[in-house]
Amino acid sequence: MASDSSTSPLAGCPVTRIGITGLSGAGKSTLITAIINHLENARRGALTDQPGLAAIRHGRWHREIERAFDYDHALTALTSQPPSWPESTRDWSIARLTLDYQRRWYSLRPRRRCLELFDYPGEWLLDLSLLDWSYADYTAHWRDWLAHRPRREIAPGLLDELAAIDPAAPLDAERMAALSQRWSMMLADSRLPPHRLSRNLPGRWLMPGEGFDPDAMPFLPLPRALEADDADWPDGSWGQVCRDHFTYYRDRVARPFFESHFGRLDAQVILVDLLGALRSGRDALADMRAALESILEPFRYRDGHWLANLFGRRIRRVAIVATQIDHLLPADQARLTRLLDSYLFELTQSLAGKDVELRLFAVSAVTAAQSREDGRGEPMLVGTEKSSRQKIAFTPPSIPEQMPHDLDLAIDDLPTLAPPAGLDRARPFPGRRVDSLLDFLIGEH
Amino acid sequence: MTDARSSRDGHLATRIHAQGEGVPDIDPEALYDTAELGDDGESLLEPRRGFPWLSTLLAVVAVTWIAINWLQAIYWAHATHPALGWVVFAIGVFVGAAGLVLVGRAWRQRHQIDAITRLNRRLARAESDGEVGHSVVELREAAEHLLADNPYRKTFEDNLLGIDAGSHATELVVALERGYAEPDARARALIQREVVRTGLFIAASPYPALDLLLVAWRNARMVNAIARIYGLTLSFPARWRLYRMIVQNMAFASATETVLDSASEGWASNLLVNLGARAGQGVAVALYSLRIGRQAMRASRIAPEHRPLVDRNLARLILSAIRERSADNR
Repeated sequence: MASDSSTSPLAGCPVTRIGITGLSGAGKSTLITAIINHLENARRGALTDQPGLAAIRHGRWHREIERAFDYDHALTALTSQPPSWPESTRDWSIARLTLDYQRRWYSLRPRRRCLELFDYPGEWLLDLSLLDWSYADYTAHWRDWLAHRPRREIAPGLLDELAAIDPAAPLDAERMAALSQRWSMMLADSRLPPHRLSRNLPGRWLMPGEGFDPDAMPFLPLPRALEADDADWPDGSWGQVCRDHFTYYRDRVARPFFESHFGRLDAQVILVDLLGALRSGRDALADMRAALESILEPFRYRDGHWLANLFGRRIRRVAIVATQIDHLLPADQARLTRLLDSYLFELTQSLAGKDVELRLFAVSAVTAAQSREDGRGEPMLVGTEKSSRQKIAFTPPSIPEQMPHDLDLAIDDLPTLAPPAGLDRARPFPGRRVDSLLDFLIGEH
Repeated sequence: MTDARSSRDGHLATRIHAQGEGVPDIDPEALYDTAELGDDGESLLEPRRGFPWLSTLLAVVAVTWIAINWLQAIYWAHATHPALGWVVFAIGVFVGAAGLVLVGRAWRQRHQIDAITRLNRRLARAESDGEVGHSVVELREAAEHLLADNPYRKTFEDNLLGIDAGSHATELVVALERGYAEPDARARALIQREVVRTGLFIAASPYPALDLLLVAWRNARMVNAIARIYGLTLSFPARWRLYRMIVQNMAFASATETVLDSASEGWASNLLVNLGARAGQGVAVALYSLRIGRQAMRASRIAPEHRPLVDRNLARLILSAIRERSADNR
């Protein structure tokens, strides 16, 4: 089981805390809903395939806690007619469950454990890279990103406009508001199809969460600020305002969030919409991999670094999970793990020597596609297309086990499916490898 | 509607067969069936956990009874002569210590059978989950620990040298497979020899009533020999555990074994026609022994079965041998 000995005075049982996050659209809410559903149905055999979870007899979700994950809402979405996927995570929440274990009378292991699934937008996790940056670093990174495709094409002329601003000139509030608006649009467009880019910093521009308004203290990267080292811009100038707002965001918004929540996590799950990135192709794959590298950077820091203390002290298990494998043929589903391994090879190699157990999974939280055969006996999938709500029969391509080194791989026309009808809370949702993931996170071995 | 567009470089095309009303309805129940598809291979059954209450109770009663008798013996001997009392005491201590060592060793060997099965299952799962990182290192260490007294330890060590936290679980299994190449070949040769003999014994046996005993004896001997090849020392409880696991795994007849049987069906029926009922029984027993041999190999190995350890070619070789020799004997 994930190493933990802390006790919650409220529940009176040992608590295992697991952070669950993922870049937008990866399916966090659905996975958390499926995990709660599996644990709720433990006594109906939902977890019997995993010896490490066999002792769990019952799981109970708590709706009464503060900031509780909205399981009711997610269930309503999945079980309504027509069913829909639960809404995206917009703020942090906690799904707390009490797990009752069946033990022999002489067993010294606890008969009850608490599990807390800490759900927060993946965009916020990207702010981790900001924590070590100065305003100059932030500007330099964005200058590079905006100078190259695909962002150069997403926001044509934005870099030139920013580069035209003299950081020492007095701030023009109206122009700042207009540019800030354009910045938000650029981030939103980058995230959406067909681009599906991942490094959309600052994270709270897209997902502000409770108590943060990006328009109240906007900041933009000003390329000309890089010309003078640590310039002493006059009060009220573009440079001074942007730098101060950046510092405020970094130190008062992003950092406290990580400090208050991450030091208590036992394990971290990072969801990756690999199929989504494959739909968009090379640029999306490269950007997502860079984002994941920056997210996992703290695990590579040496002891003594404050981020290393925050992460390395407690988090011992990290699961990188590719979702929606039901959109592939059964034979290809296991292959997706190997493709993910190949895709993140450098990252897993760099973490290999660290005291972190990193595991890659390919799961389907709720299976939406039914496997059938076409007229010629060839395998195909049948599901309901998410946007048109029409039934669709398709054969996804067979994916390779290795990711090309130049990431030149894309899947054309792969539909996005809606959840199936007939889901029932009192029965484990049809899924793939959710129990394996749980076994890794909380299994007793 | 069919949309079979050609793939561009690096682009994989999805084939859309139909959309809308022409698509068959989705059966919600079938989604649960789909969840079972694509599962990798078969694993050994999980060894039954639990405390052996009955054995423990019997052991406690026996030890108590022996201890009481020993104490009485000391008392009587001491009454006869104090030195004699000390001698009886010393003999008791020596016998007791030797007994404890033997029992401890026997239970350790039994535990090893379970540990091998658990590691085998864990490796199979690690492979199917595509594990990398520290868990692979832990698995390698667990394997090295179990193979510490194995006669092929050096071979295994050489093969496991390159396995580190950057390795895939499959690489670990492949490294173990390489280490098992020689014992696998020896075990297969042994199974072939033993199974043919068992089949011929039955075919030629003049006492059908004794067949059952004969088969049980020969198969137990074969299992012991296979375990020895894989470096396992079998105490009585370890042997009993191994037999039980073999029978349990056979009861859940696997896909591989079904193929094995079906591949041999034609041969067996031909033999029945050509050689008569006794030879047919010999063939049936040979197939049964073959399955036992395969399960003994699986239970003795840490590495999960990648390819069938006993394939249909071996089955055919064995059946051919029985046919030829039975025909010669007629």
